[in-house]
Amino acid sequence: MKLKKYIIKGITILSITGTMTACSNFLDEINHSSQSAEEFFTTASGYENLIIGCYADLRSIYNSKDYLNMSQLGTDIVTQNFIGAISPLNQYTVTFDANQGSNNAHWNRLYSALKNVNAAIRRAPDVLTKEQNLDGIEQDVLDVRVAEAKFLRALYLFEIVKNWGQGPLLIEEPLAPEYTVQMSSAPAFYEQIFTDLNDAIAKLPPRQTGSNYGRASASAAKHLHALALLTRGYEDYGTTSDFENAYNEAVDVINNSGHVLVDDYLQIHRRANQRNEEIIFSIGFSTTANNNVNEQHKYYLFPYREGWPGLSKDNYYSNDDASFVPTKYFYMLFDWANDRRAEVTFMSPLNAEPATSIDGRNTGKNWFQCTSPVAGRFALGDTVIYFPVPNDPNFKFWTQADKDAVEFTVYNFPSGDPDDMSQDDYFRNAYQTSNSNTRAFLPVWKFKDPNTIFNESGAASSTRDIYFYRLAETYLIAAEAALQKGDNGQALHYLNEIRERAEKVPGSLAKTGTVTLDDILDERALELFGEVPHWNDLQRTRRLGERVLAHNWDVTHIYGGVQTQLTTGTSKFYLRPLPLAWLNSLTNGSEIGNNPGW
Amino acid sequence: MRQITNIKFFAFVVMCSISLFYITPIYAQQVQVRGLVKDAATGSPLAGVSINVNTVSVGSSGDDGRFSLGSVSAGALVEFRLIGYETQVQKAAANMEISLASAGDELEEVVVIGYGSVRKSDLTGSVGSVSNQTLTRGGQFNAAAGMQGAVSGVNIVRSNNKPGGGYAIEVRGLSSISSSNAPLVVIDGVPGANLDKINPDDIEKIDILKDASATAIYGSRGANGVIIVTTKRGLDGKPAISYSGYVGLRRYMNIPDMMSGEEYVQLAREARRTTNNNEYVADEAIFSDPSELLAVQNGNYFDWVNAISNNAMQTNHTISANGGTEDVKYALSAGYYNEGGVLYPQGYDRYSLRANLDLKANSFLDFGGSLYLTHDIRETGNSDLMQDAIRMRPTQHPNSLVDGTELWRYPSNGLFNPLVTQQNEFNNTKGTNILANAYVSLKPIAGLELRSTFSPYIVNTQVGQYRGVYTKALQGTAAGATNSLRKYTDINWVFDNVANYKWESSGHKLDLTGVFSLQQDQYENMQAASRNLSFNSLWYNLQGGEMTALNSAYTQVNLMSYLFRANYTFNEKYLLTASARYDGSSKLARGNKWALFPSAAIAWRLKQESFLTDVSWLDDLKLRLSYGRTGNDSVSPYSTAGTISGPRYYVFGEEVIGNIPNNLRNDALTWEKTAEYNLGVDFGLFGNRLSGNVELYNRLTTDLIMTRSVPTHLGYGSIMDNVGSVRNKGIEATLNSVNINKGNFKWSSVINLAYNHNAIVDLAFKEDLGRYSPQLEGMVGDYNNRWFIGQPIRSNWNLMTLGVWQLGEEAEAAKYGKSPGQFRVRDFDGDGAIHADRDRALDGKRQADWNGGFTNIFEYKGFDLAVHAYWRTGARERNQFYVSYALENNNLNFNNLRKNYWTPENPSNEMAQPSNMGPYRDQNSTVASVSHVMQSTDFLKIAYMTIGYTFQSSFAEQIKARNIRLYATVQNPFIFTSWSGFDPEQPSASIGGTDLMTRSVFFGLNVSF
Repeated sequence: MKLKKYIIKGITILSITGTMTACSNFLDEINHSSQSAEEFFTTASGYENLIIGCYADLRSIYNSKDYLNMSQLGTDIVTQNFIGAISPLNQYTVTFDANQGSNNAHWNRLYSALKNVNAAIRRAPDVLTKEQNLDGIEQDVLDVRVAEAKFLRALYLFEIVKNWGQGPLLIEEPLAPEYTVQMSSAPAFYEQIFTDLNDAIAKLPPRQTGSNYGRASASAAKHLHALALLTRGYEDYGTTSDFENAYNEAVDVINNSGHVLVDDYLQIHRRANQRNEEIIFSIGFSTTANNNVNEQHKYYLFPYREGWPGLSKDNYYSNDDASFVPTKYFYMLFDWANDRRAEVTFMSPLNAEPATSIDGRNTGKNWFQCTSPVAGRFALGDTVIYFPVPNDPNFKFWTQADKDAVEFTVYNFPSGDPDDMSQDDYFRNAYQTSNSNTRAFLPVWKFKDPNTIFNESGAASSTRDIYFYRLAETYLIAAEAALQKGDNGQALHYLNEIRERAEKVPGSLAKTGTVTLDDILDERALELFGEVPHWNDLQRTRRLGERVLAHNWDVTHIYGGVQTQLTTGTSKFYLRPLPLAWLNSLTNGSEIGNNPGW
Repeated sequence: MRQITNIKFFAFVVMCSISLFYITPIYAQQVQVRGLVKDAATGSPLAGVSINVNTVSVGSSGDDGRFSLGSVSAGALVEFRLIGYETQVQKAAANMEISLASAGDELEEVVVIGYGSVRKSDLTGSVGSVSNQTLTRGGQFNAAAGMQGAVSGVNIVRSNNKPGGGYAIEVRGLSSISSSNAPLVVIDGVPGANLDKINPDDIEKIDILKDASATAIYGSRGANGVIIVTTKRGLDGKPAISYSGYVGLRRYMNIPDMMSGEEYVQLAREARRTTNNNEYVADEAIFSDPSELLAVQNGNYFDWVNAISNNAMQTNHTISANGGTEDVKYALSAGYYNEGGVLYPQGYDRYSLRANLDLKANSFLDFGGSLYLTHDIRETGNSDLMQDAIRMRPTQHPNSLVDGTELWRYPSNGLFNPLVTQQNEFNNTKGTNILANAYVSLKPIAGLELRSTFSPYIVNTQVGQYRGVYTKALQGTAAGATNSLRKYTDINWVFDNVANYKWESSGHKLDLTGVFSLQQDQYENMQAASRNLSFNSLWYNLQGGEMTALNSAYTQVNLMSYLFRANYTFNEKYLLTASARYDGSSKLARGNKWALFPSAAIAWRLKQESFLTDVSWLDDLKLRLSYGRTGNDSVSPYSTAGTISGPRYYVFGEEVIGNIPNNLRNDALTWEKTAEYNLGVDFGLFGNRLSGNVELYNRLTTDLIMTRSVPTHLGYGSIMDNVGSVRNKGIEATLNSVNINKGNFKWSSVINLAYNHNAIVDLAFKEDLGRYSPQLEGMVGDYNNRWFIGQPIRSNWNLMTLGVWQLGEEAEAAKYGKSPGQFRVRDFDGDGAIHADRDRALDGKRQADWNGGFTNIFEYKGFDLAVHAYWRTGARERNQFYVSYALENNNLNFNNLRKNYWTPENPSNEMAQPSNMGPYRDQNSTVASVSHVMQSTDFLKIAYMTIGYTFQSSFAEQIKARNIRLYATVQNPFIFTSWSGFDPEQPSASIGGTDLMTRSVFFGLNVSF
């Protein structure tokens, strides 16, 4: 009996210890679906993927409404759509505080992108070379990739410093959470930006073509270099040579990059011609793949799909998300008779012919045609909404009697004082059945894409590239830098190069005499509407309060008599508030404080 | 007053029965006693009932429940006693028929506690049990539904009303902020099995381990409670074959109160008037669609909800058998359940097959196994159907009123005819579950059992979708249909090795259990999708179009555990349990993989003490005190290592795909731990006519695993980390009472009640909340996540609606940029502007604090009637339905919930003016909302009412049946609530995701042979 007990005990102990030893690896993780970052990014394909991942951040940052809220709203040329709503970023009300959503989101996306480029730069020395391993990378390819990452890092650092004026200057990949932070001042940011750009310029080819189209080039780095120098030139910590250097760098791109101005302004923005000689750097999208949605095209359109008898919710006019409305000042800034850019920028008769239209279709004429017949009222193709525009042969101001005489709705082109929007059709409510608070205004059509499909989840998949830097902007940087260094002749030269390209009648747009900063800002608006961060242009040139208060009627006439906090001269709005949520997540957040006034 | 009368009455009944027992009868002659013992509820014969005459054992009943006692003095008292039944005493007679009632919560009942079982009287932790009878009484197809409101502290919510929809179970509140709060379900020893796939008729009983001393034996997965399901196994005896089934109809109930045609048209007029300087416009200008205009002019309105739905069939059939000898026991069953869709093409079918066998070779070797197969098919159709039917304006018709053509697209509000979509979209899930096990048991010496069980659990699931061109999704414009097919397999296995030793001597009882367990979960997934398909091929012709997706994935999680438990009892009075589990998980980082989960509990059976033995009205009194630690390892696998992101698309000259580093590694991530105290009292009074228990608990969960905000300049928003702690405190009570038991009439009830209070105790990331809002002055927490220390996890942080700006208040309204007719919210700091943070306030919580259930059973002769109700109070939640249908921004576009809205003539303060609701119509977020979209979710639901009739056994015997019962059941007959949505149990669900509530009426038959 006793013996039996011992045997049982023995067997039990043996079997348990036996199972334990057999299972010493039992708790190791096996992952077939993915790989650890440490292993993957040391291979050639892994590192190439990491660089591509860094470029993909451009989409998340610049293809977002938050960025457009930050860079377009609240300027002299763009205002909000809804009249009865108070929009802090557009109107600079007391409700604009340090916990502003788009401000937080833009900050977070920039630092997330910065983390990725830092990872790419830091991990480069660990990448296996072709000599070391068959999966390794060629050394010269690796050098170019690192230079691309440095261009992107300079871009993000510039975005941070120009908006917030300070921040953590991260140039290492964070590997563990940290809850305190060291702030760096703007001069330190610019030092790092120029170092990175010089490294990038040294290694990158002047242009990227073929399967490398869309990667950073030396010209893109020089363009950014010129812009960053120009921006620092206005600051009290800038050096006297900043404008001079900015001018030289811009002129170098104009003369030596191989990029040239396209003859016809229309050809820059034609869908079929989106990869043209003038594009220095753009954010790529493709017509085939998933997760490939450019949203830029829909924000400047008013909601024409719902509630308008005769218009239906389908893909004829694609999706819309009316968020950004051109100001009256902007509509009237164009010389419609002579400036090609007016008819390219907006819906216009130009788009009646697919061969000359922006999007290769005929939907961008200055009227909306019926897509859903209404018995006794609209047949398919009938005009439903009509926008008279100055270059329309039948252009006139429609009186109420004129309007009553037709079945379709007419919205008159703004007239009178460019800064008073109170009486114009565009800026009053468009009384339609569904979106009663929306405006109905002549839509911006230059971003339009025929390859958009409206789907039920509201996604409109434009697949056009987003232009980031193009040579016309380089000309305007050169003009601005020349102006600031006191060379009116060169300023006039580069300004007129752009104006002359746009004129329909030779000589009709050329400027003479003294160029002012406002001339430059107006020209940037006309040439680059929606393509560059116009808010930052006003910020850089110290013209924010002056131009916004003068030209954006919504800022000085807030619904309910609410007062704007924006003033002329120096104000807290020249720097964005450090996000409150971020400050609160730091243990030393209260020591950091915030930008002045926030 | 009534209470006292009842107690007096009980006391009287108790006294009578006691005195009856002790009166020594005078008997004159002998009788030959023969008879039959049956189960009072089921009518099936009871074997092994011990029979005493004048306290002397004279034998027991046979397998067929029959007995024969030879000659006994006429009038002698014969006592029938069987464990688990109420003992009965009757005067001896020649032909006796005895019905023994189940003792219900009787102390002899065996409770399964994980890796073993104990008698209820020996229990030291907090465990609730549900019998097969309770589970099946209401005819629910899902055992979770049968448990609703049946156990205190167990909160069960139907999470989906579509056929085959599942349930969410919570035990004792929310312990975890961001991890799952679902309890561990253990079916026949397999942790993590799916209760939805089990036919309730196959379940012997369900035991719910609530306190940590009970759940600690499941260690790292025990923190949210454990639900142990035991399926039926073979019994000693002749084969017993029984059938149960029902057939009935279901249809929608509690349909939201939508506007009639006239009311909708008036709303449309008011909405247009609002935007036209308060001047009405002609109907012609509002209803641009000529067909709709005709509908308005002729008052011809269409009821879309009625048109797309119909009465559906519901039927359930189970046939089962069990039996055996001492050495061989078997059970077998087959079941079919069908739930038709009230909305075509919805539907659910479930086929189940169960077999098990227990073999005994000799006194020391047992071998056995079981197999449970389920195949189910669930079709849910297009998920927007009900939403669109409710949205369709009553003025819209499926055919044009002008020329009668079928309409497909409604340009006036962008909708598509749901009657067409209904025919062209299918979403189908097919599953095959295999739940099996095989065991070997050795009993080498007395008291010792060594048992090894290997239990595979394999789930194969196939999800197919087909969308035709004429569906809402493809809008009639696509080049062809789309389809997708996903197949995934979970292969799990558990290998348990249990050693159990029992020892007993002179009042000391010891029960020791040691376990070594291994478990592995493997998940494999494959999915593909195509578009531009030219014909309806469902999901079987992926190659017929252009492929748009193809992906596959794999994950594996391993768990290794050592367990030990000791139960010690002295003199049946003092009980002690101690257990420990040592768990290692592959999901956690090296160095943090292992954790120990100990527990201890003591109990004192006061009734056994000499000073209480004489208290005749007290049948049982036990005090229990326990403490235990459990864990929660709900971290996703591989998350502790540095991973790479999913594909990030970009385009250079060509399409490229990139990746980036995906997470900040957290090498310190470890188990979430829960420590819980439980104090319990069990009692039985008046001959156990009134019995129950009260539990008090205090549960602290620490090292909560959640995404922790990190400063975003690091490039990440958050990491997974152990941060913060949450406390749940509560009280639970269960009361079983036989209210009346007189003659042929018996009324019994079960009441249970639970209160739970939950609060965040601490957070690793906390900030001064006063910086965001004066209403949070002095509080700390995580503002971004709306976690406020000291407040419940799911707190509402709202703008507070004061009502509607009225005429005469124009000037004040204008300060805020508002106008009369718009919603008005409170300006806390009075600065003339409404700030997103500064003008919010805490406004209740989204978690009920009181839950309860109430079951009443009436029996009279062969008739029985059962009514079960459950309720919940204390939560305020965002009413998603109200937001979508009463606050619809586009008032005109869709039909609306009936509402008292503001017009210049009707100065309502409840609802803003159509088309002029202002920016505070809704705040479009669950964590930060506006108070008028929040409503109380309090409700009382009658879950079922069942009336049945059991035929006299003489009638049953004519068809050689042991028992026949016919019954009729109504599920969901009534709901009482002020909630204006479709179901207060699912406050934030979208109607498309879950569908309306249904009511079923069916007729059933139980028969056993």
